[in-house]
Parts: sequence; C-alpha cells; structure tokens
Amino acid sequence: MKILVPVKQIASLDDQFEMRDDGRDVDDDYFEKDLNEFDHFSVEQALLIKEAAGDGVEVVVAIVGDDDADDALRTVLAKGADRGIRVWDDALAGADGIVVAKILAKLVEREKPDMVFTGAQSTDFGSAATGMALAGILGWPHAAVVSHLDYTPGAPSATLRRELEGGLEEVMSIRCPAVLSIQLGINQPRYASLRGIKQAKQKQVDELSPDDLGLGEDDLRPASNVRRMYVPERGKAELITGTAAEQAARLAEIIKEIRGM
Amino acid sequence: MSGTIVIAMQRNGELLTSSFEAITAARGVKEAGDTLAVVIVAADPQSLAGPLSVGGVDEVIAVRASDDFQPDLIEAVLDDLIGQRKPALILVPHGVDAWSFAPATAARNGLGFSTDVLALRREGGDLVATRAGYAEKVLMDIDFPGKETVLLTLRTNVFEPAAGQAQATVTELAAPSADIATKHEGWKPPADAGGIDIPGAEFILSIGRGVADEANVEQFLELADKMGATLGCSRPIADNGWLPKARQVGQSGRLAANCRLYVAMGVSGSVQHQWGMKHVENIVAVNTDPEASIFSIARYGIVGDMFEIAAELENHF
Amino acid sequence: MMAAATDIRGAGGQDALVARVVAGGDLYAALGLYAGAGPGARAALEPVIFASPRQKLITAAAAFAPASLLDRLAADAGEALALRLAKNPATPTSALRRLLGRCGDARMARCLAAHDHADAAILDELASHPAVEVRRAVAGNPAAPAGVIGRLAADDDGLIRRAAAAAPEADAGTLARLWQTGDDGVRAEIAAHPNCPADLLAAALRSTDARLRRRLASNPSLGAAELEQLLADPDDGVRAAAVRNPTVSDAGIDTGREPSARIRRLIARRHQLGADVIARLAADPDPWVRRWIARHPDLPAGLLARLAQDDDPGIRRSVARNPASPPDLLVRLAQDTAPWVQAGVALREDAPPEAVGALLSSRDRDVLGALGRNPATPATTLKAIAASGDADVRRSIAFNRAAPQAAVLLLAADPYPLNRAMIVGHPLLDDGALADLLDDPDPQVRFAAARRLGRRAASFPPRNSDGKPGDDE
Ligand SMILES: Cc1cc2nc3c(=O)[nH]c(=O)nc-3n(C[C@@H](O)[C@H](O)[C@H](O)COP(=O)(O)OP(=O)(O)OC[C@H]3O[C@@H](n4cnc5c(N)ncnc54)[C@H](O)[C@@H]3O)c2cc1C
Ligand SMILES: Cc1cc2nc3c(=O)[nH]c(=O)nc-3n(C[C@H](O)[C@H](O)[C@H](O)COP(=O)(O)OP(=O)(O)OC[C@H]3O[C@@H](n4cnc5c(N)ncnc54)[C@H](O)[C@@H]3O)c2cc1C
Repeated sequence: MKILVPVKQIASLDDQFEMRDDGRDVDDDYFEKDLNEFDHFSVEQALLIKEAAGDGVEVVVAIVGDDDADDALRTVLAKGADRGIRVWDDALAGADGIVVAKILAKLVEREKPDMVFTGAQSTDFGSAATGMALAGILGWPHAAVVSHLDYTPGAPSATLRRELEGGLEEVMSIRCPAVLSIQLGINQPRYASLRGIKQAKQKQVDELSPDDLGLGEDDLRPASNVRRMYVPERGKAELITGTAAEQAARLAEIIKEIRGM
Repeated sequence: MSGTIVIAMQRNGELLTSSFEAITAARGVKEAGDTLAVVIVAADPQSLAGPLSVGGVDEVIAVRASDDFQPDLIEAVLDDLIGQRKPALILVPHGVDAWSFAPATAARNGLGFSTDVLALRREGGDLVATRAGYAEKVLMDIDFPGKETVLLTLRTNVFEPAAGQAQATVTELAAPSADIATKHEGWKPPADAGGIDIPGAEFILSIGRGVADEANVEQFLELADKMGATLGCSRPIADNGWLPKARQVGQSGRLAANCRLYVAMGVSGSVQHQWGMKHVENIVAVNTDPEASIFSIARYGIVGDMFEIAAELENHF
Repeated sequence: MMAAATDIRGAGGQDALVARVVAGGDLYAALGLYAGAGPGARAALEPVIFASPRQKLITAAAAFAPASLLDRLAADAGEALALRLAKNPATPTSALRRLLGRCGDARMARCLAAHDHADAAILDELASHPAVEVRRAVAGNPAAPAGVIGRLAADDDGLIRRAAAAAPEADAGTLARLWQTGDDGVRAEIAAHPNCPADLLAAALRSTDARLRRRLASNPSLGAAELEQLLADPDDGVRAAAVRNPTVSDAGIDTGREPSARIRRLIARRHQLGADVIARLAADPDPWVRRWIARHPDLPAGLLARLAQDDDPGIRRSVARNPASPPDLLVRLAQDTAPWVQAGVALREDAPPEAVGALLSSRDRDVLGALGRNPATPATTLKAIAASGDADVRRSIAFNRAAPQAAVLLLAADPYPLNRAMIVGHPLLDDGALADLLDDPDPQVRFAAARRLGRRAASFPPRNSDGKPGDDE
C-alpha cells in the first residue's frame, strides 16, 4: 500500500522586488522559498492514514524542482514521509502545471501508488491545476478541494467532502485509486520534531531527469507562454485622509455600505 | 479551429452567475464570423437553455444528465466537442467544480491552458490572457503559441454578467457514455455560527499590539459589539491572555473564512496574520505607521491613531 | 563543533563561537552575533552576512539587523537596497543621512521623511522637496522642528497645513497664522493643540461647529472653567471628549444627570473617581458601564463582590482582572462557570494557592495558557503544561520566569518553531541547549540563539569559567 504526495516549493515576495532583465519573471534574488502551505495538509493526510493503518503504508513524496527544492522535500520527510523523489533538468525552467503533471504521471507508472494527494492549489501561482491534470492524463477518478476524507488503505472506494463556494460542502463517494487535491483545514498539520529533522537527512531521495522517465523535449512544452510580467497599478490602499473625525465618518460610511445598513 | 464554447455551471439545477460572466468574456474576444455556443449539463437542460440565450449566444448545447456534479461526464462531453468541433476557445468559470474537470480536459487533449484568468484580449490576432502570480503581487500576460484550442478558467466577479436576450438555437445532446467514478451522497451546510466564531463572521474588527495595554482591550470589545462586528486579534494579544485564543486570526489562529469586511486596527500585517485575512474583499487598515505592510493588502487605509478613530467611530453607531 | 560553542565562558569562548558561526555560514546566526561583537569578530562575520545580493536585501529590510550593519549597507546601496533601508525602522540617523544624498525618487524621500530616526537637519532639507507627499511626510513627522513646521504652514496643500496644525512642535505664532488660512479641519487640529493661543481657544469654545468643540475638549491646556462648560455641552461627542481629557477633575463630572450610556462608560474608565460616583456606576443599568467600573482599582470590596455575581461573564472577568479583588473573591471566581473568567484569575501572580489549586484540573486552553505564564503556578503543573498537546498552551511557559528548567528544555525541543523562538530568551535555558538551537531549521530561532550566546560570551570574562548558567539578560 502506497500513497504518493507531490509537493511544491513556492516562491514568495516582499513588498519591494525587481523584474528580471527580460521582463518575464521576477529577479530571483527577491524570492523567499518555502513549502506550499497546502502540502502541509496533503502530507498530513497521508501520514494520518499511514498511522491509522499501523505498518504497511508507505508515503512517498515527490517534487519537480532544482536543488533548492530539496529543502521542501526534506521538510516533509522530517514530518514522517518515508522517501522522496526529485525530478529536475534545466529544460524544466519554464514548466507549468501541465508539464509537472506529465512528469508526475510517469512517476505514478513507476511507483504504482494506491492514492495520490496533491495540494488544492499553490500559494504563489494558485493554478489549482496540477493534481487534476495528472488525473486527466492517468484517467484516474479525481476530486478537487477535498475538505474531509474517510479512506481505509486498500478499500475500493472512499467517501469525501468537497468544499464548495460559501462554505457549503458536498459529500461524495469516489472509486479508488484516485487523485485528490487537498484543501487547507482538512486536518491539523504537525510540525517536524527536531529528531525528525535529523532523520530526514538520512532518508532516501531519488534524483531523476525527465529523460530517465522517457519524456522528451516535445513532452515538456508548457500549455502557455509568459509574454511579460509586471506589477499591477493597484495594490496600495485608497487612503482616507482628514482629521480623525472625518476619517472615522468615512469609515462608518464604508462599514454601513458594505454591511448594507 | 473556430468558435468559442462556454461551459455554463449549475448547482442543484440553478445556474451560477459566473456562467453569465463567462459569456461576456467570450464576446469580448470573439472574432467576426465566429459562433458562440454555451454548454449546459443538467437534469432538465432545456429549462436552462432559455436563460442562457443572452448576450450574443448563438447556440445552447443542452446535455441531459443528472444535476449532480460528475467531472467524468463533463470531461466526456468536452472530449467529444473538442474532437467534433475543434473550438478555438473554451471558457469556464473558475469555480470549485471547474477545478476538477478543466485541468484534466486540458492535459488529456493537449490544449493551451491557464486558470484564474482576470482579463482577456486580442493582440494582433493572438489571444492574450492576464493572470496574477506570486500571491497577486504581479500580473502576467500569457499567450498560447501553436495551440489550436485554448481552455481558460475565468476568475469570478470580474466580468459583468451577460444580459440582453439573444436568439440562440438549442441543440440537445444525449449524455455520452462515460465511466463515472464519483457519486453525489449529500450536502453539508456551513457550520452554525455560535459563540466566538471567527471563521463564520462576516464582519471582523481586529486589534493588534497597537492596543498597548490589557485595559484598552475592553473598549474595542465594546465598539465591536456596537457595530455588530466580531472582535478578532493578532497573536500577541491572545498570547498575553488579553483575549481568548479563539479570537486570534492568522496562521496559528483562525481563518476568517466567511469575512466580507475586516477592519484591522493597530495590526502591522505580518505574513502570519495575513494568512488568516488577506483574502477578504474589503480590508480597512488603521495604523499610525504609513509603511505598515497591512496597507499593502488593504482596500482602504487610515493613517491614524486607533484610539482616536475608535472614539470617533462610536459617534456613528 | 558543538563542544566549542558550549564552552563559551572559557578563555577564547567568544572567538570559538564566532568561528563556529562563520564556519556554518548562516546569515541569521551571523546577524545575531554581530550586534554584540567586537571589530575583529565583525570583520569575520561580514563576509557571511554579505555573501550574496539576496542576503544584503534581507538584511536591509530586517528590523532586527544591528544599526551599525545597516549603516555599512547604506554606504554603497543600489536603488532596491536603499529603499529597503529607508523603510527599515532600525536604520540609524547616520545611514539615513547617507541615503538622503542619493535619493532619486519621491518614494524613497517620503520614507526618509517619515522615518522615526530622521533628525531636524534631514527634515529641514526634505521640507523643500518638490513632491507634495514628501512634504506631507515631513509635516507628519513628530520630530519636525518648529522652524520647519512654520515654513510648511504656508504650503498650498491642505493636508500639509493640517499636519502642521497637529505637529507637536508647532508654536503659537504658526498656529495663529494657520487659523487665518486653514479650513475647518485645520482649525480643529489647532483647537486641540497644547500650544494653541488663548484667544483661539476662546473662539473655538464659542464655535457652533461641534467637531471643532470636540477637538477642543481634548486639549490638555484648557482651564477648569472652559472644561466645565464643555462637560455640559449639548453634543454627546463633545462631552465624551471632555470626559476623556486627563486634566478634568472628578468634581466636574456629574454622573447623576448624564443621560448617555456612552458617556457614563467613558466616566467609568477614568482613574480618579469619587466613592459615590463609583457606587452609582457599579449599579448602572448599562452592562458596559459595569464592565468598566469592575476594573476600577478604587472599587471597594463590597461592590467587587456584588459585580462578581453579575450575570454577564464579561463583568466577572473584569473583576477577576481588578488588582483590588481580595483573595477570597479570586477563590470564588476561580470556580466560575465561564472559562474566560477562570483564565482571568489564572493570569494573576497574586492569586492565592487555593484559587490556583481550583484551576489546576482545568482543560480549557485559555486557563492553561494563563497558568503557564503565572510564576505562582506549581512546578509540576508547569511541567505538565510544557508537555501539553496544544502548542499555544505550551508556549505560555516561555513567558514564565519561574518555569522549572525541565519545562524550559522541553520547550527548546518543541516541534512548533514559534515556541522555540520564544523560549530562546528564557534565563534558565543553558548554553548547551542554546548552542543546539544555532542549527535550528527556523531562521528566527538561529538569530535569537546566536544573539544570546554572543551576549553571554561577552559578559563572561575568561577568569569566570565555572560553566554555570547565569541570568545574563
Ligand atoms: C503561465 C504560467 C507561467 C508561469 N511562470 C512561472 C515563472 O515564470 N516562474 C516560476 O517560478 N513559476 C512559474 N509558473 C509556475 C509553475 O511552474 C508552477 O509551478 C506550476 O504551474 C504548478 O502550478 P501551481 O504552482 O499553480 O500549482 P497548482 O496547480 O495550484 O497545484 C498545487 C499542487 O500541485 C502539486 N505541484 C505543483 N507543482 C509541483 C511541482 N513542481 N512538483 C511537485 N508537485 C507539484 C503540489 O501537490 C501542489 O500542492 C508559471 C505558471 C504558469 C501557469
Ligand atoms: C510560526 C508563527 C505563527 C504565527 N501565527 C500568528 C497568527 O496566527 N496570528 C498573528 O496575528 N500573528 C502570528 N504570528 C506573529 C506575527 O509574526 C507577528 O508577530 C504578529 O502578527 C504581530 O502582531 P501585531 O501586528 O499586533 O503587532 P506589531 O507587529 O507589533 O504591530 C503593531 C502595529 O500597531 C501599530 N500601532 C501602534 N500604536 C498604534 C495606535 N495607537 N494606533 C494605530 N496603530 C498603532 C504599529 O504601527 C504597528 O504596525 C506568528 C508568528 C510565527 C513565527
């Protein structure tokens, strides 16, 4: 019994940053890298299933990313995932969710997991695409934005809830194996213990290239191309000026307007 | 390789407004002579065909199936339409249902693809879409070189819903045979809001370390009460024991999941605090420091003293 | 590697610590050590800190970066770096002055003009900046000297004139001129200004504009007669502002006839109140009035006891937080049905053992978090709290100076990074545990651990090498 959890390393920006010379991305001096928030929850869900089942469940984590992405992989290994796979080649620099999904599909062929959990979206680009694209390529059952899951390893189906707009949830059953994209709040993610962090350094991480997986140049072409990237005009608050009395009066108006009072 | 298809979405047989927004977006980039078709999959699609005949729609494709959302079925419908009609553009509202089927369809059919698109236009004949990146800090213009069909999901509440009666023809399609792997089992409404309920609150007044002292906290509880707001706070306030932990907003506290108006006073706007409230549509920041990061995510900003503003605010409620 | 660092109190301990951090190459540990380091150590740490453009950017924006380092960075800062420095509240005056010489765009100049460390000379120069937002920032900087404010008061921009009218250093002459030229907003600020000339105070008092009288009522230099008049003003807002004026004496306040609950609430928040006023407010029909008065330090025992039985748990919480509440009342409130009331007792260092005892079996996170902070809580309970399943509850130990060392060490190994970051400052954390935290996965923990170790090393001259942990901060 095996669960595959693809995770992503995201890049966040401070308030001030500069564009790269070609104007198609941000200068990477300004990036702060971190594990995608959603992946804390997807990994936790896999670990909870592993722990509830006693032994016999292996949690494999996978990432498409360069050396830097090792940090994200070690972060989830430290929480208790059993081993990792990292796929990279410089040709992947322009990869989007569709390309990542193609690579993950090859990993699924290789690893033959019983379930795949991805994050519902990433906190930097938020395409909400990678997991379900993977399912599309595999032809596997799939559900997005899963906020609750009942699943026993090996069972032919699972019951889950999908979180819809406005907090409404749909209860759904799904045939397994399946690809599920996991929503924030589905569980309480753990922090790695300091011991876990030390152990993670010893855990096995396979490094592969797209070539190793039988993927050629044609397979790595993204579904879109960035023409230019720029800072939006807005983003700064509309300032309410005046004396405190005037400011408060305007604020009261805004409150009443939005509250429909 | 011509024509646009909009996928209209329904829940329990009721059309979602975002379907009409997608029709507007489709018209905006329609080329002369192109047809605009809307697909609706529902138990009684004929009854929805009329309402969807708006804003220049030429054809409504009505697929009779269940009202339940079944990604496998919509994907089968799309696979067939892509094969038979070779549309240049497929537009879908970026709702939770689309998250399930749009990427799967795009990946399997090798389409040009992007999600959460904010704007759409033609540049010298090329379709160019705009989406945000790096947690909304940047925008990017993207195109789809070499792609015969492009599928895009559209951010909701950006495009005006289409109106104005059109003379669409209605084509009824039988549901294709598909291997359906999911089954609708029921609904679970959002949790009832009782007691201190940050996740459920629509209006939150939140205070941070600017409040300075435990004795000052009370007046903001009072103000929140008067305004009909739920009082929230930053972590240091809860850590000090000045307010219950259930009121803390942020990464190690609660997510203001249903909030529509968030007034932050004396909160600097750390990333951890933002985690719990950044998504709120209307954020008002009150802070003495004009460079506080909270202003970079606020819709309205007041550079001023939270005590003065609070005292003045009382005159209005 | 670890041995060298744990022995920071011996001869050469400080050098060994620096050598270890340099060898590790970690930006955050290096930043932590830098502030307390001597010239030699600084020279060794700088290459680690300035290793890449990215690290320079991080340092320039870090409010915890040592001032001298920011000064160094200002010497050859490019545009992005300079802007970060200008926005960083820790950037010292000397660095701001360097940046001033090279500030091309208005945004940068505005950040400098608003900076807490901008001195009179910097503000004087920026007051003539062509961009209006820069001049606005100067006018809004409380450090702007009277001369600069006087000049800005003649500016065409309404917001600048308003800010000038509110500037602490604005003198009577400037205010008088502004009164002539300014709009209602400007006049309101003048009416509230401690330097407002007497004739203008009088004019404001006669004004029919309630907003003006409201601001006037908050002026700390008003005389008793003027305050009395404002306390009887027909406008609620004016009376409210007057009640809040710290110079109002209790004698002027008439609670008996005050019709507005809002104003009675404000009165209940005042410090100096007579016994009869307190008694009347304690029986007020408005729960918020009672809630405020329940916190009043002069509330007599009888009234405290009565309010401790109020139906409103918010009022009982206030009693629990009132420093005047006697021990027996605290014992009673410790058994309150509302956990938030119990938590109020649990926060009190003066809570009698019986009250604390009644709380020990609580499972409420607010109660446990409060007990965890409280030095009066028994050591065994603190140890249990340090091992709680709830990370927020465990963190409270970090704020407890009397926490037993076992609890402190538990927190230093806490899986929750924030808890480790908080415990770094605890006096009972020994050198060995601190040294372990130099390798922590969390940057802020590494920074804080290095800073503390650096300070300890510096405060221990070589002869004092007994290796006992000490309270060094
Ligand atoms: C048009 C476009 C332009 C882009 N340009 C750039 C760019 O210039 N620079 C840049 O850095 N990025 C860029 N990206 C981001 C891109 O490379 C994303 O990593 C990729 O599209 C995944 O999408 P997402 O981040 O939105 O994740 P989502 O589709 O929102 O899904 C998140 C989940 O998918 C899985 N997942 C996603 N990515 C990976 C991965 N790499 N490895 C393993 N699992 C993964 C994880 O489970 C994660 O929780 C661009 C994306 C698009 C669509
Ligand atoms: C792992 C981790 C998890 C965390 N989780 C959370 C979380 O869930 N929620 C959370 O909030 N924090 C969280 N934090 C803490 C976070 O990093 C910040 O320390 C915290 O949010 C700061 O709170 P603040 O804005 O109230 O205080 P500060 O940052 O001190 O800001 C106070 C602000 O008040 C302004 N101010 C001062 N006086 C006045 C006045 N009179 N009028 C108006 N404004 C005034 C100041 O200009 C300043 O901007 C977490 C930290 C870590 C490391």
